[in-house]
Amino acid sequence: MTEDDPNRNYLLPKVTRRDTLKLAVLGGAALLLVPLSTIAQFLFVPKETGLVAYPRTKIASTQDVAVNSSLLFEYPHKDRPAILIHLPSGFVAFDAVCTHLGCQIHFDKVPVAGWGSNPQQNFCSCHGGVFDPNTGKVLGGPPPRPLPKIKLEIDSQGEIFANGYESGLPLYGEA
Amino acid sequence: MISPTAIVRRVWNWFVSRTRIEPILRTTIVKGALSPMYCLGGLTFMFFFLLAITGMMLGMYYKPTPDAAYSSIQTINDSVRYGWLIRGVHFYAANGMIITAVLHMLRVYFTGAYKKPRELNWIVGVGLGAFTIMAGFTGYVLRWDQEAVGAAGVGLGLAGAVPQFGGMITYLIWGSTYDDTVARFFALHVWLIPGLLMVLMLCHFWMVRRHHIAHPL
Repeated sequence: MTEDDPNRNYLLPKVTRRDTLKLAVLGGAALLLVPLSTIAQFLFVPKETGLVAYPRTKIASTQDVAVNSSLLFEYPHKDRPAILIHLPSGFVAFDAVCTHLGCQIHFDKVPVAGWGSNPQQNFCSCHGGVFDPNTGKVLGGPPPRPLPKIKLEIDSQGEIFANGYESGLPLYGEA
Repeated sequence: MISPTAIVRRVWNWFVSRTRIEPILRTTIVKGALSPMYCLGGLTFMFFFLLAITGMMLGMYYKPTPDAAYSSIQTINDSVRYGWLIRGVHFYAANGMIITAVLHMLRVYFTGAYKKPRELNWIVGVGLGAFTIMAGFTGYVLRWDQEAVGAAGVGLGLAGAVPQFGGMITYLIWGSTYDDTVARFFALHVWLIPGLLMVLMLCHFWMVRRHHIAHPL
């Protein structure tokens, strides 16, 4: 289409092939860059430990769990596994999701065959992550962070309640 | 209706007519320089740009004290969203910058591009290379894990071996306690060295413009 094209409609803007291609290339590049903008989340400080409220929930009674055994429960919401452990030194509880890739951890009274000897540990059977049952600290394997430790309250009737976390937040896999 | 590209063109023309920036942006280069070998200096600058951006982002979480340095890096890697990515880009860009700078130096050497009248630009380039390596060393120490503490000790020994001035240099850079050391390496890594690099780069690029790209052999 040239300048003196008799069929040219002068009400429409004159858009050249070059303009169209340029818009397509620049627009395509812009669309590719849009997903990268999520990196801006880096600038927003992650939530700090203890700032979020978690419900006070009854777990069990002290006589339900014998010394050196454990009980699985759900905390802070349904389908989120947590583990209550009765150690000789008292009761402790942790978020039961391994901080490596999110498998469920369990408490071992006896060493797991073929996985080394880690009696009395919180153990993740996916990749052999081992956590200290007193503190949730990583003792071995690939987990990068300790297990979140749940704050426990035991009332005069021997009822055990979970009430938030003492350490180790954020929870693996939760926003 | 004006097409979007026409709007961009008009804004650009407005900017160019007021800044007269066009002759600075446009230049002619010899045909022989249209080769990947002649891109190494530009790649080094691209890595520097990436390092500046990611470094500013890391600086929002990094804490330059012996007690908090390593744990703040763990926070960046494990808790900050995309922290692992930003730190990874910073790490690999730092390695890339050293590699492309050395290759750029080799290209300039073997094409004889350091000869008259470009000797001064070679000298500035040597300074850029030295500061790049210093930036690498100081950044490595900022991690302040066992390896970095050891590396700082080795550097301390090297600086202390300088005749006459060894003691003064070590005291200037390492201070008297580890608190001083981390704070000073942080200041060197984020303020002094990048500042000097930017000044020298400006000289480097300005001289390239004055001399033009050397004809390849």
